[in-house]
Amino acid sequence: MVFSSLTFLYAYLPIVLAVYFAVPLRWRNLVLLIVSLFFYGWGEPVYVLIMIASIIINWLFGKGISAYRDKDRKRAGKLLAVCMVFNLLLLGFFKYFDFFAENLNALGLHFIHPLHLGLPIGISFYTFQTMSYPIDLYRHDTDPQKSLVSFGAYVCMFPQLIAGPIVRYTDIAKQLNSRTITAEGFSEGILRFMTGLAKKVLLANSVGQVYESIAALSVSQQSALTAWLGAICYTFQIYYDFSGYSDMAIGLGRMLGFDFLENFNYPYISRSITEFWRRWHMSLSFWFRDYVYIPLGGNRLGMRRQIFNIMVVWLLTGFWHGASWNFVLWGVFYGIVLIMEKVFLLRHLSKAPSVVCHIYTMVLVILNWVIFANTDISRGFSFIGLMFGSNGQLANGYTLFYLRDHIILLLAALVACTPSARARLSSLNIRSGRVLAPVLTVVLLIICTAFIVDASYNPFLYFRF
Amino acid sequence: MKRKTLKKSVVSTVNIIAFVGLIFGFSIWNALAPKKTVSWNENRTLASPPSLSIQHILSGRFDDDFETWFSDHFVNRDFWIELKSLTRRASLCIENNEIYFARGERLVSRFASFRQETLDANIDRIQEFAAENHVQANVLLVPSAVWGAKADLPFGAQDINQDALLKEIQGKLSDQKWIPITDTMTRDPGNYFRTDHHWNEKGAYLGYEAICREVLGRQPQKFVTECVNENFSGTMYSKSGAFWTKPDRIYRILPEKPFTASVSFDDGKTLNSLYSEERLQEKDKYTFYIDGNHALTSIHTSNENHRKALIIKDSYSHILMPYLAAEYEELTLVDLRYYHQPVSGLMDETTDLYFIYSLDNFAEDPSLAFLR
Repeated sequence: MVFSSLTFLYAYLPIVLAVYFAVPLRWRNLVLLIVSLFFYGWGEPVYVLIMIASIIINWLFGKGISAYRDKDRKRAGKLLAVCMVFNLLLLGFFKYFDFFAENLNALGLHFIHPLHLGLPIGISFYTFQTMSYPIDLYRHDTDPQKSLVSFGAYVCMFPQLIAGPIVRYTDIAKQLNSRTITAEGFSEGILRFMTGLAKKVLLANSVGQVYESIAALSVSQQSALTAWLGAICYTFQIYYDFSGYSDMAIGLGRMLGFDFLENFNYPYISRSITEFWRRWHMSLSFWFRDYVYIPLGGNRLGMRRQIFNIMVVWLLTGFWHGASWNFVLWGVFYGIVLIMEKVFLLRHLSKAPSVVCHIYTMVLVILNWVIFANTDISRGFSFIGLMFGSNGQLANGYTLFYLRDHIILLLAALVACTPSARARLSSLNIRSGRVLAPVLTVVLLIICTAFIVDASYNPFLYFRF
Repeated sequence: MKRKTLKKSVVSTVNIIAFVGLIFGFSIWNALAPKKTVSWNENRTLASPPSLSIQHILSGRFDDDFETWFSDHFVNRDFWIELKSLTRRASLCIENNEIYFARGERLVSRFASFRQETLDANIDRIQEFAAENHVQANVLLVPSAVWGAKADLPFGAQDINQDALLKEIQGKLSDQKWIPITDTMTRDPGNYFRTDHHWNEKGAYLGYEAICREVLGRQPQKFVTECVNENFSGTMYSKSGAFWTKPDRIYRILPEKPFTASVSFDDGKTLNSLYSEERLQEKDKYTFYIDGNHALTSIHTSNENHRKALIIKDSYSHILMPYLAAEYEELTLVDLRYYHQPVSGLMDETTDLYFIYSLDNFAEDPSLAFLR
């Protein structure tokens, strides 16, 4: 079940809200656990068992680690290591087994074969979340959660279960045990959720269709500007899709009384790739910083070691996004650029006019999204070739068509990825006596519903009888 | 200061009531509203509720099937579809669901891509079939409405060059008799329905004229048309969601020299004219012409000229029949989307063999692979 579905909006969410607010406070974590397991089981009726197993095992290891962390560091460390191996094997098996098998087979080694098991939804997110718990316990960054129900509610809480943000246990440990819900908080949650829904349904899905339409053009219909437009549309799509999902998660969290950390901070206004990665999918960057980069020594062991550490992090970041070489390439590319920025580029960028910095950043980001979008690396590079005129056409009638057809959409997508749009909207809201907020809620919900219903609209031109 | 905080909490309450009211309101309305089984506009049966068997639930398809069913039966479905189309229009889009909003309340399907492999396979199949049966096929490919309605298309519209595509196909079908429809049919939007993807009675007459000139070597006969229905909202109307568009008219096509015709179909159904009057009560009133899509349609006329035609076709040919039947005693129509038996048995050496398709469908339809 995705948030931008009628099932979620008009069946699941009303029921969940009704039950959640009808039960006494002390039962709410249990309700949250049950509805979240239902939410997950709705889409993954079998793999929900794996998630339950993962919850129980991590919770038990957490108990063990916290029992020994003061009196027997070594033993606690061993427990932590076993727990990490378990989590990584779980993720590794479901996400990467086939990838390794296929690559070994391609090298002529046939001792394992792809199993073609489906990837459990959200496994990359929830294993990272559960791993943070035993690590933080071991480091004394948090205290053990006594209640298995509350720990379970933390891991599989439906707002952030499928696509993040990656919430660390320490960040919501307090709220798990006590949280307050105010009308204002709930209302802000609604506005945040609607922002995300509109980003996903009105912007991401629409620019996504433009990208797909452009990617499907034959080479003779293509041109450099059309290809750039396609790549820009994908750039918008992935941002609005992902940040829209995070907005919905944060909004739903607020409705239920949780404050999740922000996950995106207008990444496309960055002036360097270093800045971009401080603004894009922040919960993942923090995770890798705190659990990989700093434990490896971070920047404390000299420049060579730091470069090595950065490359390890980015190799893993790329690989985390998917079991395919293009993601690895995408991550390695960012690793190299980040090292270059660290070593010399940032010094020059800081002296350059800001427009140059913006163009530098966005060109790299857009080109790298093309690599990201195409699991077939050669397709990605041939698309990049088209962007640089490989078919000898700068622009043609199709360029005009896409610009003309989607002019408002493209302008809206452009404006909405800068902070000024939000600032203007909220000052307008205050000037209008705050009536803009509820009006936007109603209008956006109705229009989003229309777009979601339309997605299932399927007229048959040829219907026999 | 105090007033301001009060105001904020009031607005929060209003906002909560609005949101919660909408999602609860629609949920309850949705749960209580009677469920339809057929979508008139979409011309299809709506999804039935997903099976609750353990097997189906464990299959992993339950989620999608539930959403399909849920949205198929969502209250006021047509209102939402129209609202989406209206939103697109208001945001200056020139199309919705790949249907252009053209001038004069005209809705025109884009033709922006096709698979070259499918087209080449279709061409090869015709060449091979004609060679195997030692006949020359007469090929009439009608450019789609987006070609004819160019003058009415919104600024920015861009589609495949259908003139060039026709030329390419003509070149590759060098052994067959090519009917160059665009020699006489000009780019006039009036040759196509406004709300449907087919050509209309005017366009089809030009097709008939071209056949008379190129194949039969005769002067075309004259016909008059008579409006039988003014409420035809065609496929483009449905697909675009532009439900504010005024409907088209359906015409009966009357020959100057009257003849009678009887029509029979593979399923045993028969008609005693080229028209199916009852179809005028349905949504897709284009099926008025020879009762719409059938696997096999046989027409016998009172024209005792012993001329026979076998027509491999799509639905563009249907509105052509009232004209073409005036020239033949027997016409057999085969729709390869539904007819998968050998076709060669349906003709002898005296039969005229035709391929009559709309160009866009010919370039995309994989069912010519069934031709044998």
